[in-house]
Formats: sequence, C-alpha cells, structure tokens
Amino acid sequence: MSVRGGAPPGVGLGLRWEFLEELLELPASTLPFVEISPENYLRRGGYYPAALERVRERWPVVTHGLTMSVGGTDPFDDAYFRALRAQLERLGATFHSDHLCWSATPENSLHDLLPLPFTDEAVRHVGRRVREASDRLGLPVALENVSYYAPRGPPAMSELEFLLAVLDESDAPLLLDVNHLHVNSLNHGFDPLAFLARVPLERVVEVHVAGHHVWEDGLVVDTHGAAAPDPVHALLAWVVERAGPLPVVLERDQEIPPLPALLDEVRALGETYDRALARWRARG
Amino acid sequence: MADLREAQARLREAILGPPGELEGQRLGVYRRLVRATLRGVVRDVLPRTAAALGERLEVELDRFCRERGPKTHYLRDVALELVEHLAPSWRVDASLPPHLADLARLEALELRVAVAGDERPDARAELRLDAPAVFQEALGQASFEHAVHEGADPPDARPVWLLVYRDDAHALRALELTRAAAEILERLRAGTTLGAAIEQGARAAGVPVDDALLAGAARLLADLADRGALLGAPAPDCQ
Repeated sequence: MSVRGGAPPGVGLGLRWEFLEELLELPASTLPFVEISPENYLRRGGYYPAALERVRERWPVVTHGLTMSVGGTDPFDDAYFRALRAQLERLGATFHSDHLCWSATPENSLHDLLPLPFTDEAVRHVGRRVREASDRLGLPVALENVSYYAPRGPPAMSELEFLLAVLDESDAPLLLDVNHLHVNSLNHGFDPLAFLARVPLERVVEVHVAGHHVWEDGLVVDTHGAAAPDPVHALLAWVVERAGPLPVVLERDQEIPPLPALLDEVRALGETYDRALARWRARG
Repeated sequence: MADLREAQARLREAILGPPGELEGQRLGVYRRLVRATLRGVVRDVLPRTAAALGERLEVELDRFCRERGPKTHYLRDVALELVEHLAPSWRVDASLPPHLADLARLEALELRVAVAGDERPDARAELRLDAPAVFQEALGQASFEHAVHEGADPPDARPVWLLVYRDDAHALRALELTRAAAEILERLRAGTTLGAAIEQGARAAGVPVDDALLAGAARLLADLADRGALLGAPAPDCQ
C-alpha cells in the first residue's frame, strides 16, 4: 500500500513542547512540516490543543503514535481509537504511523517500545492487528522499524525477514527509522546497507533520523538524545538517493538543545538530503 | 497467540518487578528505559513533588511499578496514577516530609485542571436559589493540611481549601477559600441547587446561614463569574 504524498518532502521536525512557542515565532518557511504524537493532544483541552491549532495554520502536520501497541495481545482500546480517529480527521491526515512493537498488556501500559519475537506467529498477529487498526482509523497505518536490545526467544527469522514478512502480511507502508537501523546494526552486528538493499523502498512513506547514546556496558541505546551522527546521515542519503523525495523527520526527545541549534541540525540533514536527491535525479 | 501473550506477560512482570529478575540480562535495559520514562514524567508533571522526594523518588517509582504499574495510554496521566496510589501512604510515612502528600495532590489537581476539556456547558440563565449552577470544565477543588499553594518550603501547616481553575489564556489560577465557601462550592459543583448548597454547606462548615454568609457567598459567586469559572444556571430547556 503506498501513501506517498502524505507529507511534503524534505526535512521536518518532531514537535516538542520545549520549543513549541519559540517555533511559532518563526516563519513558516523554516520547516516543510512538523510531526506530532497525537497521544500528547488527545483527551485534553487547554494550552496544547490550542497551540496545535496555531501550528496547523503554519505547517502541514503528520502524526506518529506511541501507544497503539500493534504487537500487543490485548484487544485494542475502543476509546483510544475513537479519539485518535477524530484527531486524525481534524488534522486531515492521509496516514498514521506507529511502531512495530508492543507496549501494553491487559494489566499495564509500559510506555516503551518492547520487542516482538521474530516468529511466524508474531507476523500473523501483527498483520491482523495492523489491518484492524487501519480499518478503525479509516487510514493506512505505517509501521516503523524499532531498535531492540535483546531477541525474544530463539529467532525463527532475522529482523529483516521479520520486517519484510510483516509488511507483506499487513500491507502496511513503512516508516523507515535509519537511526534504529544503525543502532540495531551496531548492537547485533549486521551490515545496515545490506539490510536496506532488501527493503522495498517503494513502501517507504517517511524516514526518521535521530541520535543515540552508548551506555557504560557498550550497548548503543536509541535515546533520541544526541545529534544524528554521520552514519545516520549516510543511511538517510542512501535511502533518498534510491527512493527519491520523502518526508524526513528529525526526532529529539532528550537533552533537547536550544531551538536554533536544533534547526541547524535540520539544515545539516537538509544538505545531506538535497545532495542525495540530486544524485537520485541524476540517476534518471 | 498464546505464546506471544505469555512472553509479553513474563516481560511485563520482569520490567515492573524487582531488579533481580533481569539482572545481568540484556532485557534489563527495558526495565531501565521504562523507569527513565516514568521518572521523566514525574519530574515534568510533579516537579515540586519530585524535588521533595529527592533520592527517595527511585524507591517510590519502584514501589509504584511493583504494586500497580502504569495503566493509562497517556503518559501524562501516569503521574495521576502514581499520586493516587502512593500519596495515601506518604501521608502517614514519618520518614517523608509531612506536606509531601498535599504537594503531590495539589500538583495532580493542577494537571487535571490544565488538561480538562474546553467544553463550556450551556448556561444561559441567571443564578437563582432553586437552580443548580454550571461551571466551566477546567476547574477543581480540594482541601489540604498545608499551604502548599503558597510556594514556601516547607509550607505552613494549616488547613487550606483551594479552588483551581484555568483562565481564558490557559493559565492556572488558584483561589483560597474559607471552609464554608469550599463546602458550598463542592455541593454546587455536584449539582445541588444554590439554596440547598448554601444551607448544607454552612451546616457542614458549622456556621450559621446569616447575612454575612449570604453576602460572602454572593461576592464569591460574582467573582467566579467575572473570572469565567462560573457560567450561570442551566438554560431553561436543560433543567
């Protein structure tokens, strides 16, 4: 399923409250679009929903969810889906995205991206859930590849095989997070370009970039707490050179720098993007 | 799907449970990440409570995870779940600041008011004694044993009744009430008619319904109407 055109191409920014007011002072030409997590605006009134309306007047808004728990085994939460659908309709969304993971059980919502086992059972389960989520929202639900730190049980397939099987089973578009790919390649020892070479780039509707930290035991952790490093720029360039114009989102969730520094990083990513796009055009 | 369900249940227990379960395992990173997220939301939403807890915050987060864990879809609301679960025990824990539970309850109340819906119920009629009153959604009240709204550290130990509401610019405002005013407003907000609310509220506060009380109630209601917190009485066709 292709939903290209859902957001303007170019490098946008994940909207965070730390710089929301300051961003609203800047001209619309500062960014091609912004991305929000609808959960931060659902079931609430007051300042932030009002600010979101001001954001919408300036920029196209794409949505990226946090708590759908696509791989979870408890039934979907009806109230959550009703609220999410209403929000997406208000925003005029053409697709919505969430993570290829689970985050909740019937007892608890854990607010983290927890790993699925790379098994046929999980493929079938996620396929069913994504189709149900799309039906409930009346929109395609794109899946984002996540960083994971420990395999869940003996793997029946690789992460790549799992991702491809889920995309086939669910018919979902792909939100390709090249930082997650980089982090996984470091932690699990594989070649990210070999991975990318098998990803169906025509299914990619958006790309995420971010930075990460290395913990004291050497584990690389996807914190979104640092600037995107050179290898992440390189993976972004590889994708754009082969896939063409795409919406790209810089995500920053920890140690958020002052907005001018963040916009400098958007510009640097934009230069990487533009060079790659020029190579894509030269390829004809 | 049974295998998947069982595996997720096991990991949930290990993440929320004591550290021993995942010690030395790669999966232990999830225990650490979940706690970092919860710690972050507590510091964001309950900053004064987190500061008053200091290093004890980690112990209390662990206890919350072990005994209940987050249930809501909405990360901000985890702070409310945490206060609801832990504040009753903080109130009687001599090793903690005596005002801690009040502080947490005030910050939780402020969050509820800050995120309350923007709906403004229909209230086209003037207030009258035989009708209930209609308030804006973004409003709440509570009583405390410490003046935690004043910002002093430590706060004065005295009984306080507060009304918190959100103004038109989305800023939170707190009004300190007398006991009688708080009792009357609580009943009015619950749908009691104005006359009955005054009578019952005065009785609960142990004060007579006299001219002074009626004048004070009239001033309070006029002030709340000026602030946009009190909208009026229900429209005639809504009663």
